[in-house]
Amino acid sequence: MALDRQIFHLQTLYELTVELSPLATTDKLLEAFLLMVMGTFGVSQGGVLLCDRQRRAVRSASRGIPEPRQWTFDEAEKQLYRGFQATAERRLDPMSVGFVVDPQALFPENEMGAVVHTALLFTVDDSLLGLLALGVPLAKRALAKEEQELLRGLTANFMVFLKNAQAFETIQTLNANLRRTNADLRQTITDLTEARHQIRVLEFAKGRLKQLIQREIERAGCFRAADMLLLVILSTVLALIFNYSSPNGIPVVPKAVFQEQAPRVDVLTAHQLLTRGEAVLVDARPAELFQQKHIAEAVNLPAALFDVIYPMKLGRTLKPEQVVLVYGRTISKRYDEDVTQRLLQRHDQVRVLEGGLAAWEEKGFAVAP
Amino acid sequence: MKWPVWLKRSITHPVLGLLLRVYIGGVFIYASMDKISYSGEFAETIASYQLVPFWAVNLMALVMPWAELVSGILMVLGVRTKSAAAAIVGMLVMFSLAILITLLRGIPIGCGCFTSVEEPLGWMTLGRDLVWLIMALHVYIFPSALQLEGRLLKSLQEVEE
Repeated sequence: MALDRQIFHLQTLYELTVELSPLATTDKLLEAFLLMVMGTFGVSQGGVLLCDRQRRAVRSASRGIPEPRQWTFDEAEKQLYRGFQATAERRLDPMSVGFVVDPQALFPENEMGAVVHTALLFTVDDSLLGLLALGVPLAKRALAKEEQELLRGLTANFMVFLKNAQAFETIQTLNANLRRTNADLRQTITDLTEARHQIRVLEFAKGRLKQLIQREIERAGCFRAADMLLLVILSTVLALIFNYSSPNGIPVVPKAVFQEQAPRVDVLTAHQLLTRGEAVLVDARPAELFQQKHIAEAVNLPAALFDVIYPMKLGRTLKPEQVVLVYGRTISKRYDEDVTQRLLQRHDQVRVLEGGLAAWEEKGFAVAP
Repeated sequence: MKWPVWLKRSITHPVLGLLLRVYIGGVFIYASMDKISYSGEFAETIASYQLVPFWAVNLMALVMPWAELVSGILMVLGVRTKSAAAAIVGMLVMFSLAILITLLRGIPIGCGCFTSVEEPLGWMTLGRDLVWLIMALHVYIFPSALQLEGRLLKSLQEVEE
């Protein structure tokens, strides 16, 4: 009989080991351990409480309790302290287990949510403590000594897995921290590289600026062809913009360049027309040039004063059949073309004297004064 | 011939350079105003000299007053002084030659130096232009005080150091 019990105990220990070995997280271990213990001892209500002093965290699992209590860290620590006071050993060494002497008195039903028939405290290490509370077994009797030893063994085995799970979780936390630190480090390296690049750029810019200022200081006292070119370009741009926006604007290239030339007449034909009284001769140059020298019979009709002088000197006397002969141009101005274009708006017979005053003089015809 | 020290100092004094710079620059700014506003009349004035091809008269009448204005402003402010002085010297040489040729050809026209309505061109006009040319050459050759560009650049250099 004793051997069968031993075999059963060993079998239970083996099954717990098999059950817990694939689990790596504390919560799952708590659940599996509680289920295993409750099944082994025929208990319908039970709970396990784990208090991590280092992380100030509480974890718990329960079965068969209608409204399981939610523990805070301080409450759990206080409860465990009371539990340790009630064990036979009064204190527990790491990886040790102790039964509470009078669990029902220590953990009343109204606090725990169920009747605590058996209570067991365990210490994984100085910072990780736990409480296993089991309700009334189906046999309705206290655990025998062998059963207590089995529970002690199961809990000790569970603590090994718990310690491993804690170590695994710690490693995972450390790895996560390491990954974060690595990411921060990489970001810092990137920032530093960028900052170094920016410093290089700024140092380069500083050097260039220094050179530029030095060069400009040297240039300020010198004549530069580029400045002249810039002055011409700037003046041209400003002039064109102003001219196009000004009401007094003038064409950049004189209109005469694009106009069709007025009909021409040679000097001999012109002289004959004048002799026969069939033509009138107009000097289109400004008055001061006219007064200097002009063809003897010519009437001075400068383009600038056309609207004033035309009615006075030609408007009344000019016959429709008469030809108006116009002359007067210089290298800089085609006065004859300007006046001819305006005369053509009033009279049909208008001709430009080919060669002008010079050709007239060359033929030996009269000039004045 | 050795120049007296006081005369040499007076001629090369930066304050004299400043006065001449402001005067010549001011003359060119003033001269440009009427020409810019009435470019048509200025084109007639240029044409009356009978030196510029007829297709270039209007372009010259438009650009030259602005060149006078820009160089005048640069002269007064003391920015690119040598280049501005060179431009003004160039323009004054051109004006003097034009006046000389016109006087020799005996063409009875007004100067058109400031406005289109002026007294006829004479040897006094040429003399005045030659005096201005000497002044502009002085500005080109000798240093002048209160040059804005130099001051700005030196301030920048001080800040940078």
